[in-house]
Amino acid sequence: MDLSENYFALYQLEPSFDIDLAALKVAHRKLQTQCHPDKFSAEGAQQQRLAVQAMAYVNQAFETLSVSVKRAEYLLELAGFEANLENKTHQDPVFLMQQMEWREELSELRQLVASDEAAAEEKLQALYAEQRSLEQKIQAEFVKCYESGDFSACVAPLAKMHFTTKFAKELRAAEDELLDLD
Amino acid sequence: MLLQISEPGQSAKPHEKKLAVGIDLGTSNSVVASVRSGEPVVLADEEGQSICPSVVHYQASGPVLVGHGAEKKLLSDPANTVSSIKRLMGRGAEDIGSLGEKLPYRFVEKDGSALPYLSTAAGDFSAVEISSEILKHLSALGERSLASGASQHLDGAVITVPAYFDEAQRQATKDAATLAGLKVLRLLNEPTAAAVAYGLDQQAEGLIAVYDLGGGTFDVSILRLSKGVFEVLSTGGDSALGGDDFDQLLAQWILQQSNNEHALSAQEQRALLLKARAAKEALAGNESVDIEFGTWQGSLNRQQMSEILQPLIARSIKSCRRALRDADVSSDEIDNVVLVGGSTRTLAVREAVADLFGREPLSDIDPDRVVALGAAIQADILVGNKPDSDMLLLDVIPLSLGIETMGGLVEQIISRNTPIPVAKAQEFTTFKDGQTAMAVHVLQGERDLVSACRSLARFELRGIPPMVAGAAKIRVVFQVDADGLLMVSAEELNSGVKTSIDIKPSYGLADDEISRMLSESFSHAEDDMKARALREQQVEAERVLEALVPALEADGDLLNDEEQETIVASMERLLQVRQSAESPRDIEAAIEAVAQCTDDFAARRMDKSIKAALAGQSLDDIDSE
Repeated sequence: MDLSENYFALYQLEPSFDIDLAALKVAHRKLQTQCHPDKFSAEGAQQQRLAVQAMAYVNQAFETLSVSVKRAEYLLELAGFEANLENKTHQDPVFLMQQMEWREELSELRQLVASDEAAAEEKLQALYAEQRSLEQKIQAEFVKCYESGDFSACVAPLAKMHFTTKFAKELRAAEDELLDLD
Repeated sequence: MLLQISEPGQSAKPHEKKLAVGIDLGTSNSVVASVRSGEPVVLADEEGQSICPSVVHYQASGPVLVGHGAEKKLLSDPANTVSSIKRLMGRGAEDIGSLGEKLPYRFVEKDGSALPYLSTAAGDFSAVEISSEILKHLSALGERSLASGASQHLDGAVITVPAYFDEAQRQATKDAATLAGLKVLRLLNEPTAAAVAYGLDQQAEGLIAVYDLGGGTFDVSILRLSKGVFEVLSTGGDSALGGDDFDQLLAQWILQQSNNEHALSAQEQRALLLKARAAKEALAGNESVDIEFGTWQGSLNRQQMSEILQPLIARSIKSCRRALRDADVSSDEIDNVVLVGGSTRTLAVREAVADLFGREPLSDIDPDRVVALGAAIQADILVGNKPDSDMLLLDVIPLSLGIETMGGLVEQIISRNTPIPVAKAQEFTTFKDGQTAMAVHVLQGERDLVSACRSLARFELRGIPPMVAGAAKIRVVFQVDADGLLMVSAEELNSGVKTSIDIKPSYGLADDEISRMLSESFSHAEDDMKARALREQQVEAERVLEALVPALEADGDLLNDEEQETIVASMERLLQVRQSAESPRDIEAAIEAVAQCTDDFAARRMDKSIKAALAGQSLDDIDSE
């Protein structure tokens, strides 16, 4: 298999941020069925090795395309643009404020988890909603810059995407605590 | 021309059924099964016993006893009779204390090995060697009951492991199989094996939760079944929670009740544990049971036992909730719950599981046999007896893999529940001028601190071309295969130099230790070892040839004439060497030669089949165009 082929081409998709995730999943299942090492078990060690590599590549491709922030980063990489994300979000004072606000909300949430479960649940859902709405806005911003071909302008929304993704993870960790699952 | 290779009937005929078994290598009991006339069946020994106690007895002189024979020695000779060895697989000397029980064995350390060795009348043995005795016993049983005509040896085995086993425990299991002379077709996760047995039996579709509480390990897996594809969505568990822990808690309770104050001898300790286990098993069918210990007499009822075991059962239920969340499904979405493992006979366990999922769990297939049956089904497919099967198992890595970074922290490389096989690359650089080597410490676990994760191995990369500090770009690829085993490769990107890697497993056997053990275990029968090695290479040669002939027929158009001729010549040479060679090395070399000239062909075929998969056509459609 041509392991240098780009992930979009592997799924016969045009490089784009807006892709059909359900169709991607269907195509992925077909590829898994085709190149899983178990399908080559009777064919000797060489074919097995190759299948493990192919399958690992396909799994990696699927993960990259199905996770929005990874997909965005990969699009820039394909465009030959190396995004250096260090310190990029600090250039946007409004977003900086947002980050600080969320940090505070998160630590309040943590305290509520220990003291008042109902209030914690309510706050958690409100923060999830906020996170989703901001994420959508940022993604739209990314798509606009990307489609206009201004890749350097893509870096700022990409950096913000990283932040909202990380924030979602932290919300999930707080929810784990709330569910007594940590 | 091409067809002639398979015509003379010199290689094994493709329609001849290969011998393959599924082995459930359990903490308390082990089972071997195989597919016969299309049905998976458990294989019984000459006495009609199909469940083999995972007990090994070593004698000063005389053979190693395994199974029922060894079990009889548990009480009379505890120091030389090893049970529950699975709990020590992939574990280090310092882990023994944390197993939460007093083991009646004498452990010794060996130079240059991180593994604990058990000192017995027949010598010092590692957990890998002791497990390999059980595997040898089961594989011999399989050969005796399956061998027919030309086929006397097993062609391969699927061996099950707890889904929650870490990489070191998996590698230890595979090493044990290697020592036992078994070809491992796959290390299969126990809950996945059980799902296969149930799924194929009942043609189930939808979401299935497998609750597997064995003698020493607990697993839970959430799977989605659809058209023969078993996709594991998440897995969780505790590789140190099982029926043995139930026995320990009950033994403590008995000890408390009896006001015993003197320290127990190894023999008394064992007797107490056996009593505790007997009481637990009796309560699966009775409301209460009478117990005697020393001068004490008393009774235990179900309610009391539930209370005693409650903390352990609660731990398992929490793991189930964790797995549900990782799979992003709620408990009421689960269509079927399957119980696996002897410990699910305990009523309190069944009740807790039914309560969590809001439905009665299934246990139609014997929970002690279901894992081996599922493994047998996969073994039959992987060995090549069922080329048209649609079944596919898509499993995940149970615990995150990471590397040590500054300050004793772990950076995750592959997170838990990622589908396998998987490969992730990480780039490193040098921090000193002219630096030619670097070390990578790989860990497994969910915590941020190195000290809270399991150390798997230290990889030392050597042969980095000398450059100024920070100029080298070393790309390290961490690949986890379908067995859940890790392989690491590294390359310096600027120069393209592949760095060599020395692996020091933290709790495993180094390659030379395995070869030493292999040669020791065969030292009394050197010819036997040679014959086996020769046979293995012959089988591999057959496999290569059998796969290539139809491949060339189907996809010969991917090659030009010259390439075809080279390949056919190498195949003819292999066929000839296979017949005449006396040394396994010669066959190996001929296989390697075939592999070399078919490398491109194999890659082109893989490419073609992937393109075909996405074009929505089967390969046959394309061929007929």
